[in-house]
Amino acid sequence: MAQGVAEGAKAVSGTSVVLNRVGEVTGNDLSSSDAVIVGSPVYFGNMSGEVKTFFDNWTLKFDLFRDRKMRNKVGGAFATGAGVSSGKEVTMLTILGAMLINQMIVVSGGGGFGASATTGPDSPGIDEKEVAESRELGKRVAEVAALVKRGSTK
Amino acid sequence: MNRRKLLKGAGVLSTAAMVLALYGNLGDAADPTPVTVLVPLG
Repeated sequence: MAQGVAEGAKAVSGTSVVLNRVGEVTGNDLSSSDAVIVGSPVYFGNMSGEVKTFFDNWTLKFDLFRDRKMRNKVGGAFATGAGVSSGKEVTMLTILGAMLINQMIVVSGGGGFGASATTGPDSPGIDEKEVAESRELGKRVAEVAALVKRGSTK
Repeated sequence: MNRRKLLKGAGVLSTAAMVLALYGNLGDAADPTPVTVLVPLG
């Protein structure tokens, strides 16, 4: 899914993509980016603890929240879950919620709330339609980020 | 240059100017906005 998101974003001319594990992302990575697309597995119907810690660190470790340093950056979300109805939408919405509280501009793409894939026994692996959704999400986020950046420099 | 050619030339130029004014944004086409997208994975 992340690879698809990256491919979609790179399809927008002028876009560079930095792909990293949440635990290895620094405050500088976040503040120097124009857009952030967070991906999480579904754990017990919500984002994983590792991803929640990542968001908590935006204030606890990186001090990005106090001065709203993520303000007007563009955000998106994608999720993978074992079941068809296991919490993928909740996961994406809680990721987008954390971004909204940081005054980011959240956008959808692919699916209604972002891109998602069902990976459990009913639908093992990630199929081409799900990869295509993730590409759409990456492309949309990069397009909106370029629009915002272009508008803010005029 | 006769009057007919002069008028035709002026017409072509004004049409080109109008098309550029309406649709032209050569700066954007030549210089895509550099954007960095971070993709953190859980």
